[in-house]
Amino acid sequence: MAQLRLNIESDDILKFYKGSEILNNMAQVERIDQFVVAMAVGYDLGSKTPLNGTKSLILESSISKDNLALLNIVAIADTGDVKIISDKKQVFKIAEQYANTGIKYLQNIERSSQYGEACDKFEESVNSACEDL
Amino acid sequence: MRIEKIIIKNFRIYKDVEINFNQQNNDIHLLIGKNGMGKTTFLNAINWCLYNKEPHSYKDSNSSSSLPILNLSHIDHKEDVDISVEIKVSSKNSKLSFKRVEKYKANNSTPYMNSLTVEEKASNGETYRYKGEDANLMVDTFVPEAIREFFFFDGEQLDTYFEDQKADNVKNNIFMLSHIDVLDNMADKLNKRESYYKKEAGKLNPDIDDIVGEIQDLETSKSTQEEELKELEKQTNNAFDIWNKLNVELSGIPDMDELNEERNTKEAELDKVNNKIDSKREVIQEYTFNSSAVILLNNAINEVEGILEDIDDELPPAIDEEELRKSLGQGKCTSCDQHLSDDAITYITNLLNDYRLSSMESKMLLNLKTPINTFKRDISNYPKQINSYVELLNNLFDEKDKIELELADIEKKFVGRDDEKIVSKFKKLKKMKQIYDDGRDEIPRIRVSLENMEKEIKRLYKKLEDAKIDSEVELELLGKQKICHEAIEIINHTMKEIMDITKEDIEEFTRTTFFNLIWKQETYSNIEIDEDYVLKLIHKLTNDNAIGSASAAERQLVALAFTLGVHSISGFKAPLLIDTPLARVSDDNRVNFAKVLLEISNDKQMILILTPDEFSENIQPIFEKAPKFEIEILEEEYMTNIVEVE
Repeated sequence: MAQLRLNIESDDILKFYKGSEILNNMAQVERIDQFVVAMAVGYDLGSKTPLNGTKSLILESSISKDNLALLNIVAIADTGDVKIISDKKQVFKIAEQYANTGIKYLQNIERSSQYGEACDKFEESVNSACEDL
Repeated sequence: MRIEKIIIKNFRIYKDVEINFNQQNNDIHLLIGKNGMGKTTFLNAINWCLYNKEPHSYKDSNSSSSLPILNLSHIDHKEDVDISVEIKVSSKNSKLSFKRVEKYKANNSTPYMNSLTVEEKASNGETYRYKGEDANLMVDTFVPEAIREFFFFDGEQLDTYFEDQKADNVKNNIFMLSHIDVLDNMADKLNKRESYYKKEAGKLNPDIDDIVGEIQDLETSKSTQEEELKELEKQTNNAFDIWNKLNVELSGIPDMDELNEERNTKEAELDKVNNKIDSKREVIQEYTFNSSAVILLNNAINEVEGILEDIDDELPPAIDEEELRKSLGQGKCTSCDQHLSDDAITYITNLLNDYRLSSMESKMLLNLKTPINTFKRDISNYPKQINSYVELLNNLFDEKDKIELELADIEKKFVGRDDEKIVSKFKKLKKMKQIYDDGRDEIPRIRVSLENMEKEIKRLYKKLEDAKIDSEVELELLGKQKICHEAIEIINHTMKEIMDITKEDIEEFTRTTFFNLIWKQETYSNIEIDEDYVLKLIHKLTNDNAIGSASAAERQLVALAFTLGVHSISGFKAPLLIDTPLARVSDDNRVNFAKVLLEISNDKQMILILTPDEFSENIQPIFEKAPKFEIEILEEEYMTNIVEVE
């Protein structure tokens, strides 16, 4: 049986992953960390966006335990059903849709920002989220 | 001078001997005795009396010189014993008596006293007595010890004289007869003085030229340094004046160079702070990015945590759902293989319905608890950590603001200044300050150097004075050395001249005597002593030295002639005493040599000690008229006596 993967919807999205100012703001960032941040942004925005196409991004074996835990947490929180945890395909799908929302949001931020500003904006939004805690 | 009488008492084998040497036609006297009867002892008795020595070795071990000279018959003496040998000598003007006495205590073979007494009866009838050193000096008027071997000797010496010692012997004798030992001593002492003067002069070794050269070099250096000092003082004072003037002129005006330097420093500080800010911002952004997922998922995390708490009781025990379903399907337990009863089937079915979650799901959910705790701790720490970073960043910004303000102040100072002109003046001010400072450092150093040079020059002048004195002393010493050297040369030359004269005299006397006495007039043409003091008997035919091939009698005659030459040149007219003079010649040669001895006795007293063999029949007629003494042994008394025979 083929290994599960986390997908994105297109090459454009992959290019964004590679060139994003926000997602590449630190050295040696891994793709799964970028994906989890995008997923978190999407979850924070409260909407899932179905993928308009499929492009493999990350193999299941490349996902660390902590990141897999976050994927499970998002799936449980999204469905309210703890049994979803045993349906890994579904867990991945929910994560992909939230990440798709998040990535588009980040794209918008970067498109609407001067070079260097996007990171500040992202930082502000994180800090703002922190203040709401 | 002739020996009148010899009296011997208790000397070795002689107990009591008195010999009167009365002069007949010829003054020749014969002592005849066998070997071992005391002939050599007689010769030694004379030497002992005069010189306290026994130079002739004893052939008979019974009378070895290692034994005491006390007569053998007295070895175990019960009373004190005296040994004495007395020689009475007469000359035209006086009579001399030489008497040596050695005293022994009873039963003791070691002498406790030995003394020589000389008694002189002068022509005026007065008698003088000499002892100690004076007595020895009187012996020197008779036969000095140095030439005694030419007066009292073993006849063998005549035969071997030119074999054993050869040229050295002749040279030594000529040296001795030349009476130049004073000159030789003087030359020796002068040699030592010459060496001393040379050594002392060498020690002084005054290096005047070097010292003068050093002084000149130092004075040149000093003069140069004085000029340098003068110039430096002038430059330093000038620089100080200009520096003062510029100081007044530029008072209140900032130094553009310094200001520029200050600005550069501040800008560097600003760059450094900016770098720190950038670095800190990177740290914050990295931290924010790393924390962003959990912060944005905070609600989800909390919600899942709540769900997990709610369903905590529902989490199934460790049963295998698959195995239960398999057992239900087969109608028997997969573990024990027993058929399931209806009740068992109902129970298992209800159990599976009651637990909504499988064991695997339960395990996965439980595994979420640890990361959830970690996430929540990270979320909780985030505000504190980010605030700490922000505070540090703000401090850096404050620092940056401060530097920027300082920079702005510096910039204001630049406004309205004629930079180039002021910068030039400030440059000059600094240059003058540098010249002044350098001069202030250098001037004392040069002064110290000049003082040291002055001291060194004074020291060298003192050294020069000493060297001049040394030089004078050296010259004086060298002068003395030269005088010594010349004196030595003169002395050596004089010594050679004197020795040459003595050599010629002896040579002449030896030659004349030899040819007067030689019985074969045709064989030899000359006797000469060459430059190396080799005495040569020149053969008439070959014209070579024939001393080696001459007969023993001829060799003895040469030696005898040489000995008589020594007698003549020395000026001592002492008698000639020869032990066994004919032993080494025989037949006609013995007769000829005996005749020679007889002839010599016309002018000189001769005492010959002969063995009965020497006094052979062919000899006896020659010495018919000579007084004869026989040495006889008195065996019962272990002693020898000498009696005159008809």
